[in-house]
Amino acid sequence: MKLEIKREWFLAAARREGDVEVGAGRIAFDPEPEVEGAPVQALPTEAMQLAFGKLVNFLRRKRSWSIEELAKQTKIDAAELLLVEKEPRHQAEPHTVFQLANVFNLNFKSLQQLAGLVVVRNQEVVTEAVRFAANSDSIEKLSPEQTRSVELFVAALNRLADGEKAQQ
Amino acid sequence: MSTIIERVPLILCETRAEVEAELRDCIEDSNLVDWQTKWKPIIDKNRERQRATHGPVAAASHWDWREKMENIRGLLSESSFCIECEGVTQGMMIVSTAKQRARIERQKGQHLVYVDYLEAAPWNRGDHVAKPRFRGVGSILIIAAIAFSRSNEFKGRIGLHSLPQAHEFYAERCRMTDLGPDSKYHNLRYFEMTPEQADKFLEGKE
Repeated sequence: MKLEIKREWFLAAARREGDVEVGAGRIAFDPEPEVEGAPVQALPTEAMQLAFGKLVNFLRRKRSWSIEELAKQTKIDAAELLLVEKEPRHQAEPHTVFQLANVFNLNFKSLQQLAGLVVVRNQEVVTEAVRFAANSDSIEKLSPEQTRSVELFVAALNRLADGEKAQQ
Repeated sequence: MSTIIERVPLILCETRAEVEAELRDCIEDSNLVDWQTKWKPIIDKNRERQRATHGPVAAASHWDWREKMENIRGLLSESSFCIECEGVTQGMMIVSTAKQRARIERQKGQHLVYVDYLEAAPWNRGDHVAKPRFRGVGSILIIAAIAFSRSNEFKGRIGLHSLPQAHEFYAERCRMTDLGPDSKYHNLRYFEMTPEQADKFLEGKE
């Protein structure tokens, strides 16, 4: 077996790969979940997922986008986006979170934590999420206070993600 | 005894320097010793921390590579590869030529190389350390799978079930086709690469 690939290709591939996860294979749970077909991730608190849905909802409305428009921007099915916004128990697909982070210019790692795709290591993320969810209402138009609340929450998420990186 | 397939470069993240590594054609006992003495303590520590605060821990947190190698001993359809750098195992992969057939409609039923397990050392992973040490381990192992597929006359066709946090790598970096969650595999998403996609990947084209 020969690879027959130039050294430059390997280097370019390594740069492209960056720090993303690469694992593949049958998953393992420890301990085994009690319910068959349970989500493959350790779920965060419901408040975290509620905050995730609220954040997506607010950022979408801030841009005056419909769900359909967000679906177009993210290339994610509108039904999945509806579940993200409306159903706190819904486990968003990693690709959905990735696309939302891109479109809304959010820190992907922070959003992964909020969406329950990775384990939350920083209690402050939970605190900020609960505070944000508790302060948000489902009115049609964002008030200046709600706009400010979204901005503060996004800033806190990014700051906490950076702080976590520095600590490790 | 394993042999070197090729000397390949990894990137040392801290300095962005190129570092020589070896892609080897078999996982040996020395690699399993690395897993047991160097990988496992880091993985176990993180797993305990996660389990204490968040209940069941998913993903490759307790893959037992020694057991996996024991299970495939003597099976002609199973092969293993690893990457060594600085005398330490940086990534391991087990592939099968018999476990799965292609699922994409236009190559449905054809032979492919199925990546049974692929894992990078914990110090090369963002979910275990804040600053990963080497970059490129995943790409090299995927290249090995493609090359192995070609050497078996499968034209570069490969398939795998991605761990949840690795979708970005297989969808965006490797440009494999995402066939969605597989209910028979804990709803892990199944990705497949066609010969054309393999060609593009090897040419470095998006």
